[in-house]
Amino acid sequence: MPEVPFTLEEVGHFGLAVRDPKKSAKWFERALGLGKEFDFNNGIAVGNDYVTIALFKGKPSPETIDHMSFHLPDMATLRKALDHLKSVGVEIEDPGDEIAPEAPGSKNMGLWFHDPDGYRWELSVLGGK
Amino acid sequence: MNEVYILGGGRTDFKRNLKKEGKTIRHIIIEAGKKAIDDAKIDPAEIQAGAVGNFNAGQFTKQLQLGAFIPEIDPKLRGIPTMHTEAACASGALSVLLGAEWIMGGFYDVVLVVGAEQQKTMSSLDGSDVLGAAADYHNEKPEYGDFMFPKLFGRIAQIYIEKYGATEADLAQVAWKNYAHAKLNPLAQMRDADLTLDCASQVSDKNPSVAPPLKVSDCSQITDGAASVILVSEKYLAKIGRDKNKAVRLLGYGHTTDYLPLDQKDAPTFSIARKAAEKAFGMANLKPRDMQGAEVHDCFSITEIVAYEILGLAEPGKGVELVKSGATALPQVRPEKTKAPFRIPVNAGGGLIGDGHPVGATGVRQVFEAYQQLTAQAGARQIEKAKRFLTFNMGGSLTTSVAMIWGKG
Repeated sequence: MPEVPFTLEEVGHFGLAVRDPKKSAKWFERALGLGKEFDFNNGIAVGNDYVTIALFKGKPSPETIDHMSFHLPDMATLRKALDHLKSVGVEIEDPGDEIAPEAPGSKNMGLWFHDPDGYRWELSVLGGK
Repeated sequence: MNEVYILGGGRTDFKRNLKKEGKTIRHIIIEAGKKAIDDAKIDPAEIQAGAVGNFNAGQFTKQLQLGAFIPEIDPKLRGIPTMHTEAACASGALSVLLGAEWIMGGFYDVVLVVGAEQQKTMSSLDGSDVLGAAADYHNEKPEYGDFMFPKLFGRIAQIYIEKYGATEADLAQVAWKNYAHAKLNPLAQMRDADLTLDCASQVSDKNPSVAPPLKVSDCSQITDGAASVILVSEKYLAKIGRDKNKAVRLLGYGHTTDYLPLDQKDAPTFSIARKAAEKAFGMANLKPRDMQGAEVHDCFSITEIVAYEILGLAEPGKGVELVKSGATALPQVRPEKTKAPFRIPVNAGGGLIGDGHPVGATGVRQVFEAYQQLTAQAGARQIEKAKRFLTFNMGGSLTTSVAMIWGKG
């Protein structure tokens, strides 16, 4: 691997094109607990201590990034997340069998769902413990 | 006209989520194709043509030119002619018919048929919009809005209920039966799901309303999967020394196309779909009561009720009575002995509601199920003494209909 004189650290922010930033911001708050941080000229930024997502008005392109994964600390939290997401009406992939290995044979366990613009999100636990 | 036989087949586990496996429709076409070749125990070099049934890989996966995956099943298949068939949810049955008609017409003696769909690639809202291409999208989408197909079949259910007085609890009988059947099928999508008749009968947090009177349990789910069969001529059977009297043969079929919009069809009679069934029975010189089992298109619970009547398993308006009598449930799952004079297990593997509905695969999966039932390879869901078997696959709101009758001896 080529050497570079720096190391990327935690995610600062990334931007997502969404149809309706206000509606999306409400969804991210309700589903994932990301609060509104600030408005900008064509959108709204939501986030928490670890990440900020800039929701700007545009044509969504879910296939561009395929999916995004956030880690949770343990399986108990993942199960709580599942219950919460269901309770706020988020459709989780594979009903009845939602929590599954990240890939065949992987010890990392996750669950997957889509936001209102079709972006696919994953919540996962490293090692499935 | 040459006779058509099934020499073998295969399918994938319909519970899988290909995206989670890092796989695509390409992988399951190859996987299902290999299974059919292994099951038929033939040298792939013997296969002369390939047909791929698929509804909408272009929108679900951005991949078309699916016939080009046939040579990836085995290098010996490189260079054979292939075709892709599409007629919404009947795409799979059309691929079987294409292969069958090639053999009937004497063009080929050995044809590989694969049906496949990968649907778990997007949100359910976006996926439902893709499925809308199976309806009259530009005219019916403005009228029905998002989740068009549950609403179209909810409308069919309303028309049926207004005409014949059925109830939501009656529809639940179909869902309950097909979930119960799925538990006997090790490759069914809903094999681990529990659905009581009580839960299926009423709206609840666990079973919300989708398009009144249809609830979640009345609907087939989004599925990734593929199925395959190898069709051969009598000449080829003789060449490899197989006894034609022990092989599964296509006894008759009917294939019809109605107008595309639902409001131009005669719901819930669906006289054009009925003609497909009449043609199939006429060609086979058999009657509905000669069948020992059937796989019918239950994309929604109401569809199975309507299909009973289209296929002549029940008189018009009597489809509900048939399912309530227990006559269409496997004896393995019937809560009590049925006194119905005519018994025909329908969707023994769970149907689209229980087994799953990978759209382009469904028609091929039904034929593979018929093959397994007729060759006593259906395991816990085996129908005893099955000798004649009916499959009915349809696309859109009963727009394209394909009825096929299979038998042994």
